[in-house]
Amino acid sequence: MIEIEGLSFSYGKTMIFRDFSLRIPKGQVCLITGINGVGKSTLLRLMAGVLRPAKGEIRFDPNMGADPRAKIGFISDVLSLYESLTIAQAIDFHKSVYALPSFDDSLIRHTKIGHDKKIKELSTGQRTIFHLSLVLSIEPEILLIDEIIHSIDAYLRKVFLEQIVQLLLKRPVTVVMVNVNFHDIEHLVERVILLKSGEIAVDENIEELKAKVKKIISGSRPEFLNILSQIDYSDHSEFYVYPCTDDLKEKIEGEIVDLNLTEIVSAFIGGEYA
Amino acid sequence: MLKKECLEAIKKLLESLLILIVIPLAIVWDKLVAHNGWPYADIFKGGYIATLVIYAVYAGATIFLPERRDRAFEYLFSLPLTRSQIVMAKVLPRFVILVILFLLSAVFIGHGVLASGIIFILLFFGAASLSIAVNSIILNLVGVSFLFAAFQPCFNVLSYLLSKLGLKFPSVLAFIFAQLCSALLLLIPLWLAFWLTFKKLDVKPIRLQMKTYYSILLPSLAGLAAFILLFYKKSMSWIIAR
Repeated sequence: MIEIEGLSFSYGKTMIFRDFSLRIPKGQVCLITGINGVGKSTLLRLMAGVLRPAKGEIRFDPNMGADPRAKIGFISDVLSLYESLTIAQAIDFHKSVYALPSFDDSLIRHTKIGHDKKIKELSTGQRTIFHLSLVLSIEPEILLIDEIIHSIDAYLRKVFLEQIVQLLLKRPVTVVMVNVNFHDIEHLVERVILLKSGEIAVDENIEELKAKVKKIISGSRPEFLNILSQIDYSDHSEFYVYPCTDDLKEKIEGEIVDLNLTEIVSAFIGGEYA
Repeated sequence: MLKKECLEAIKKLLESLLILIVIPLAIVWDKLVAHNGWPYADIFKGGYIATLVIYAVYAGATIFLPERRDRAFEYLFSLPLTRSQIVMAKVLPRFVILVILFLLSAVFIGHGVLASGIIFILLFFGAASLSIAVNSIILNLVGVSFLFAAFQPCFNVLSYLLSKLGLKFPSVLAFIFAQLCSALLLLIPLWLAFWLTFKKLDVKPIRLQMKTYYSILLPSLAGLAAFILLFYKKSMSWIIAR
């Protein structure tokens, strides 16, 4: 469980969040999205405890102990690690900090990363997998993943997501992801949060969101609907609308098309830039 | 954490010992020594003390070098470690090495050198507390040099004031006590500024987080300078008269 209450945060004079509140129940898989610079990664860093709020509080499940960071796995977009250490040294360091009796390095061996290799010599994909294996070793109750898996190859991405699925099958882990490749995680996500100007613009269960966001192919503009974005063609237009409720659907002239998560997020973000 | 920092401290020691690569210069030096008749023991003592000074400043100035070099502050702050645990893990191994080196100097050079031990503490902790504000080792060295330069007038003034309070100079204990007070007077505002800044430090750009540091350090240094200036003339007259 993550409970954010009255959170304010700024980078110098640039205010990112003002009186921001959010509650993510235990075991929920949540996707946070929004345009660049809206504060998605900042929110993740605040949850991870590497940024400190100017005001407000971030609370975790009391069962997580005095220092919740011991049970938070954070994979940031910069993959921060002691790069000068070798894999073996980094594992040794990680084990000592978290007082781990052992370390399962099967994931590292699986991706053929030598233990004597320095972290700075690893590719982004290898670093991501190594970071994931460190994070999984602490048996996290909360997993925070920034948009890093965009930049790894298809095979390692598959390995990465398989590990997340395995983890979710074992126990109820709260997962917060930021702009992860939507197609890859569509089957995992339960809740979608869209940030806009430091506030929550959309907060919906994924099934409800899919039911409410539609593409309408029509020759005339559906004025009675909230249009997120539109694409004009010579003889018709495509309108991305939200919320498209059942009673409104009856009034629509044209074809109503269901959208997948990628298209839904693109419609919202496209609307932001329009 | 402590093991990693111990290895880092030993690495810094070895880097400090790189001064040994100046051995070729020793040949030239040797000829000079032979020509002037200087005793070898004195040269060794000087070299040892120089290494100690270099290590004290270098070890202090580089306590956050691994985090800066590896951009690992985010990883460090995500670990379940309190800020005091981090500072202890960083300072302790480096300080223990410094103390061992310093105690060895008593063996090599004679116990008289122990009276100057406070200066090494000043150099180490001064460089460590400046390390949060300045990224560059050269700038840190400049800061420590200022601190070192301020130490002597501070010591003079405090010796004078302590003698007024009845402390008998020039006894060794009074000398060490005055040195300790001078070092503390310089180090307390620095360390306080360091600690209060580090306690709240996060991964925001460091320049956005230095308000506390400077708001403690600058008025303290101005106050200290005023304090020294106030008693400087009297202390100098007292020293000359003694």
